[in-house]
Amino acid sequence: MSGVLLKFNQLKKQFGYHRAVNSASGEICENEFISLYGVNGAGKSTLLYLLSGVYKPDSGSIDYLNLGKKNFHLKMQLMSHQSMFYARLSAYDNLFFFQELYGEARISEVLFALEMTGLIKARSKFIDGFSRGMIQRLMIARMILAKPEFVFFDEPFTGLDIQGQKLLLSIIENRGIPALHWKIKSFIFVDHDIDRAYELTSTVWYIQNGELQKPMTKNEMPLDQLRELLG
Amino acid sequence: MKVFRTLLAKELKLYFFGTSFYMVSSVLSIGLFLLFRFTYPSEQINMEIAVSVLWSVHMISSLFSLIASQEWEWEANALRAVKLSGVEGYIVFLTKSIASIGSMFLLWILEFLVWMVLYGGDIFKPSTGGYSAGQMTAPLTNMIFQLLVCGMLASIGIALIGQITSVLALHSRFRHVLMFIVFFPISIPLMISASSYSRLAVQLKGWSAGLNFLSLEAAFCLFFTAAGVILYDYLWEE
Repeated sequence: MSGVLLKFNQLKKQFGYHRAVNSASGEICENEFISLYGVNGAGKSTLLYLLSGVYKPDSGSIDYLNLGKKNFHLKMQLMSHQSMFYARLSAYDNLFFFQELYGEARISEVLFALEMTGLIKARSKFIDGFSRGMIQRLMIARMILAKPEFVFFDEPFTGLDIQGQKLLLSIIENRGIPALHWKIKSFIFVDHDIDRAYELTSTVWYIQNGELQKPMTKNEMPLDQLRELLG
Repeated sequence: MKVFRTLLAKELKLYFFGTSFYMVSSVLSIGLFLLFRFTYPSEQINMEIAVSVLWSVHMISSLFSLIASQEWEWEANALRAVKLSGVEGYIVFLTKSIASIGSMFLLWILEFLVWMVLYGGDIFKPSTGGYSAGQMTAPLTNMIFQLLVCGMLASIGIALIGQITSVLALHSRFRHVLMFIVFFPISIPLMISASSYSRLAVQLKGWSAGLNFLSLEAAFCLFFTAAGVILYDYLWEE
């Protein structure tokens, strides 16, 4: 691990009477690959949404340090339950549109990303006709185009078929796609498959009742102990 | 400029593919026109009432366009992804407004044509002075242009007010109801101005009559453009 990329302090987020994240402080470093664990409703997704900027915290702060907020967002991608695509635009139009916002969209690159994710035949179809797995694949395509340095994965394998899972797994294992000069510097990973998440990451975060515990290395939190905790 | 073009192209595509709301609005407009036209005998409907019908129908059907525009952003939280790419709120507001204005004006022209077919009899009567020897006179040509200008200004006003009220209602679970509640009171002065100006226009009183109503519409447009540009980001975030 090297330099600190982002620091957050005392983040809180409440929905109605439910306090989803009660207290979360920590930092994310370069070359740190984090798996975030917690039981259902512990606040995992909310914490990812807070860190990625989807939600604004009720209180607390996020310090983007040298990178700055705007740059961080431009170099970040979130793969979550919310597709963040326009349902009444085609797969191609959605990818082209977002790529134009993040940089310069090239038709050949968009088609390549669609080809790579197996969506080339469905490129002209509206997203509202897509299955969950196809939307997940489209999110992978958006990621391939954007080549983000920071990724927040929120149960990214949900709905993906075996081919889609293999593609995503290779991206996570290789920390990007070297052939495309894409390198992920850091990610946070939420997955209900404890073993898979543990294997793919270097640091363990555990959140309980909206409170993020002190980060642990794998030595400090062996897999058996983690399984027991999530029991 | 590139971001502006990209966002505008996206909005226009969404309106182009959003055929369902055009259909709903058109059917609703025609239904309302027919209801008014055939509920009352033509001698009981004078042009003053007829122009009010035109504007009431336009206001109601425009709401479908505004709700559609709001829904596109709500579904799957797409606007958040746009905002995360660093796009400023005022650019989103302006591009959404421009696309809404185009769509509403197009809708207004369709409504105006249907309205002319159903209520235009009085305008074309030789006794009104608008139609003579089988040809449209200058006052009648002026009237059509006056109504087009009035329709354009009102569409701009509705679109701007609608985009601001949409973003106010966006995060609420009762967004559709809330939007109606906020939108109607704010837009009523605009609709009264449009109706009043149109009434004078169909009476063939010329461009200068009722210019204060047209000025009020223009002032509304300027005020809400400024309000949207300044407040859109804040309203969306908060």
